Amino acid sequence: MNNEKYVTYRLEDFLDDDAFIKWVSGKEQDAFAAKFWSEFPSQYPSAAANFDFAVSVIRTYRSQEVWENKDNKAHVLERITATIEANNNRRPALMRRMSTWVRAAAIVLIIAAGGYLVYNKLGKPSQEIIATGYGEKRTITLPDHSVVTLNASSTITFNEKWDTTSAREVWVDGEAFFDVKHLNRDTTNIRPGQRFLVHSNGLTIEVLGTSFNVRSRHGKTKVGLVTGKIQVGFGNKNDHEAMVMLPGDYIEYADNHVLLTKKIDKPETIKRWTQVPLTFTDATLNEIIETLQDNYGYTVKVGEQSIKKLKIEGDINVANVEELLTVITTTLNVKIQQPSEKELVITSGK
Amino acid sequence: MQSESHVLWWNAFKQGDWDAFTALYGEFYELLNNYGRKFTQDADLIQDVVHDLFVRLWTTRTRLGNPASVKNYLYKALRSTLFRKIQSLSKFVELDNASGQGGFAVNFIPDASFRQEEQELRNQVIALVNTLPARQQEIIFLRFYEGMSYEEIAVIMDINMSSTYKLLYKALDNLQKVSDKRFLTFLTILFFLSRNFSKKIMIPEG
Repeated sequence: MNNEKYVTYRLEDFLDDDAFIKWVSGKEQDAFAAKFWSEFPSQYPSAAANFDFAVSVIRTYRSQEVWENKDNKAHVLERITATIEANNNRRPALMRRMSTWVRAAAIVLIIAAGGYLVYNKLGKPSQEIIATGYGEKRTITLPDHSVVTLNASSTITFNEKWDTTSAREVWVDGEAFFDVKHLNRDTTNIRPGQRFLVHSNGLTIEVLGTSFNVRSRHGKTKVGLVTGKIQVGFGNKNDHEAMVMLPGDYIEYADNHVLLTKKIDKPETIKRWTQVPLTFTDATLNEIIETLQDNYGYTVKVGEQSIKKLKIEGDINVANVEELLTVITTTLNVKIQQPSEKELVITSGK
Repeated sequence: MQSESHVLWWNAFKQGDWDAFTALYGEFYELLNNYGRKFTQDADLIQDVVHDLFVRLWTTRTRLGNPASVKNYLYKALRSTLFRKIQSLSKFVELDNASGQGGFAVNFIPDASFRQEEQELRNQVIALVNTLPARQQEIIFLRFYEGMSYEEIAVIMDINMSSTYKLLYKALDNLQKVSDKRFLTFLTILFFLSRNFSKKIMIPEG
């Protein structure tokens, strides 16, 4: 991608460049392209000033009011449903429920706590344990050829051999994205070997679709479904009944209790980490700090607790921690010091 | 840019899958409201348009094609539904150029967290954008906020991407070179003049 044309790129050229515009407005999903643009100033120093100016003009423009009208979201859908029902004598769709197409793909986010489940499994001879270090991601193929992307500082455990007589089972501590193969589309007639179960911090997630995300951190389990269908079981220690989740559903669970259920605004963003190294949407500084600690092993101190609540509106898609820190210091009124390689001190003011 | 799940939902919805239909609604409701808001401050009108749009999607689902981008398809549909609605509600028919009717404006957030030097640039960019005619502002929005290519913008707005945007680039380029206030005033005048090209002619209905 080293191209002579960039050496003399003018402001106009940047604003005309579809790839640049896509990146600067946070829509770039391709990690390679995102890396190219975030490294642009160092790769093409002669065009760096124009690049910086183009970036700041667009970022400036983007700091505008977002009007989502969320309060009326449910109400408008009710009106749409009522109008459609009034227009139609029959309601074929409501009867048919999930089609095979939607069932064929499920994306789920699960954030759970504690590694004890995983460690319980240690030492059993036939088990495969795969762990990633800070800043590392791995793609793993399971015995049934399902594919798992494992995020930084995460562990996945499963039996080395899977037979067709028992359910496929996986234990997750940390975060993982699953693409599950060979599910029976007829959910009323699933044989044991066709079941796919993910265990994490007391939760059992039964996959009724094919792709989903699991994350396990800080004593809390978060499950969010993007597409498809899953069933969440809460073990026998408590009286929550198993819950079937549909696209957009999101729950938080800790200490045998469901803490929160809601709809996610943009469920799609849940799996974006598999494509972009560092990605956030409307993130608070606190969320960013947690990711730096969990996924990259940083120790982060803040001058005042209140600055953790500062929020960066919009999407951040960056290639590395250095770039992320630049985004933080340019958008928020904070100063970042780095006393050692893995230590950060964030204080308010410039 | 087309998301995998958007395609899945779209295909399922066309086959009559209600869950997929509501998933599409869940995914795009906020974006459509935000886009609609730029044309009008009337929240009820925007809700009516979103309602009409989704009702029509459902009732015509078997005849729908496979858009290259579901989001862009919905943006285009929202735009035309909104314009039709504004036109039918209006006592007067607005005759603009063929590209459409209605204003276009974004509200900038007063933000103290910007650095001093950025604050100055910010004021200039806002001043500049606010002088642009509606359709040019819409191009800027789709380009810099939604990150769309010229081709995508041309499809949504149903226009031929001419030299419209070049004018803005020239202005921004000058903004970079010149911090001279007098020059900025000159630019403001330039854009004020360009606004007159899309002069509105009002004629009574009937």
